[in-house]
Amino acid sequence: MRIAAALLACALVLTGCGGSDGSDGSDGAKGSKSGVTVDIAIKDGKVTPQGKRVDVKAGESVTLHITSDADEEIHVHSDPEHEYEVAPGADVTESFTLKTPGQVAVEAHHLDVTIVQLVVTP
Amino acid sequence: MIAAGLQAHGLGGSTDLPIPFLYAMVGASWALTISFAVLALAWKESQFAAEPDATEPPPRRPWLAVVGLVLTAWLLVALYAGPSTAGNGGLGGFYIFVWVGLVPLALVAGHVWRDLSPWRTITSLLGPGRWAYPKRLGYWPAVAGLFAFVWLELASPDPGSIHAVRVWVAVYVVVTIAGGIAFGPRWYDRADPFDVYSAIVAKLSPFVRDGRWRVHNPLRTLPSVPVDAGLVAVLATLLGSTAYDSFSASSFWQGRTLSTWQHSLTLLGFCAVVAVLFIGAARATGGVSAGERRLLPGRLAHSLVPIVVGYIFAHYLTYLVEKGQAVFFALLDPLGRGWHPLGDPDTSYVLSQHTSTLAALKVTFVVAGHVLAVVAAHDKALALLPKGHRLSGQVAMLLLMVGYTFTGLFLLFSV
Repeated sequence: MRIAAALLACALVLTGCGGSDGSDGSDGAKGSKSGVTVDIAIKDGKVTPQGKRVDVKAGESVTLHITSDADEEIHVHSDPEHEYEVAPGADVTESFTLKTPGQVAVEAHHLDVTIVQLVVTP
Repeated sequence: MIAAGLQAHGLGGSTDLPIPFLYAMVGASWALTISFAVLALAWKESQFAAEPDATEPPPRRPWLAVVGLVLTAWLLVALYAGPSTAGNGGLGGFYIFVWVGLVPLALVAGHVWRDLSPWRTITSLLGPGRWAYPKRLGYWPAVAGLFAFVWLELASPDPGSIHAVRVWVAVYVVVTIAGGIAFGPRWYDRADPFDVYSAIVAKLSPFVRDGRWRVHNPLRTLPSVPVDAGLVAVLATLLGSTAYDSFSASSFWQGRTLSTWQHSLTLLGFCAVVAVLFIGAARATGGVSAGERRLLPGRLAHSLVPIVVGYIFAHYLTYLVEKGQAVFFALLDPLGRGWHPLGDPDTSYVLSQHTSTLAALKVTFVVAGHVLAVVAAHDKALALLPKGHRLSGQVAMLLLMVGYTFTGLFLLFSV
């Protein structure tokens, strides 16, 4: 019983902290005009950046500016997924918004690396 | 190219936000305080040891065996006859419902896997097994199977590849049935990775005891996890691989380009470190003979189960609940013919949207698992250790558990 009481107390304190929930009423729909731009360069079999964290607000517009010297497939692992094919000499911009908080990986599939991790906060 | 790439745990989609620093700190201080409170203030005589084991588990229930056969057939049809894309319902069902769903199922319904297991059903129709299962193998075949699974999921070149999963499952089915024909039911109790995983977690179920519904204190059934060679390795594989899964999503790790070998060896290293530290901490007591000391890690291994389960819940909760919805609907259309018997609803992201509640839940799972583990280890130590060493003999294990929990919270906070 002592254990049960301890667990209960622990759960209460922790959820007590969670009282002020992160959904600040904005509903993520406004999307600032500027948004976030990520510059991605694929050159000589390397991608820059690699494994970087980029902070994004839910509903904010995210723009990928991709330059590449090779065939590559860029996947954005959100729901729904976004896939962009780039060809050698490409210089493209692609935009999307992310609605759900979480971390979304942007990956280069041929090179098999994570380019950035979009940290989507409410 | 049908490959889905190197995203976390085999399937695409987003992962959780890191938990806020404050939550990690609150969790860590609770874990630390309760740990030493248990050591200093809790009972001084073992309460839960020496529970008589159930002599024989009750017979498997035929209706559950039928359910198991139908569900397995469904999953296999989806996996092998469904679309060869990352959206294949069998692929998602394997990673989410089989691997992650197994844990809550065992917690709620006990070791119902034993009744459901289609491999047990098939081989029971073929006879009781030709040979006795070799005692010295212990749980090691299950360790190999579990490691093969976590390798596929976390370190193989392309975990989301339907082809890789088809090959893995085919090998698993052949090996499992062959072992069952050769060694009978004992094979499943010791060598089938999923069956063993379920049996161990089921000991923590507060609702089912000895295979039937009965509400009880799970700390009384936890010490009855059958001890055999390789038990510590089973638990270390589960805990180490989950920690590796978090770690491999860190920018430190993603910033490097590494080979499959480097990923695989790091995964193995995580599991090995968890195991070696546990064995060391379990043995760190005075007043026992060398022979008794060698038995201590196995006898204390059950106390690691709540830490494993708590951390796995924290790590996989959104994955199960949110990805599970999409997989459920994909499984209703196993052949990819566009069947939507229940409509085509969007995934509900209630958990992900309430970031603070989610973070609080995750910390609660980790801390609750830690507390149960510390209590279980304390109680068993009182039964195992000689009088003069009961307090000092527990300290290393207590510190190690605090270390595991702090590492888990650190990973949840930083990745």
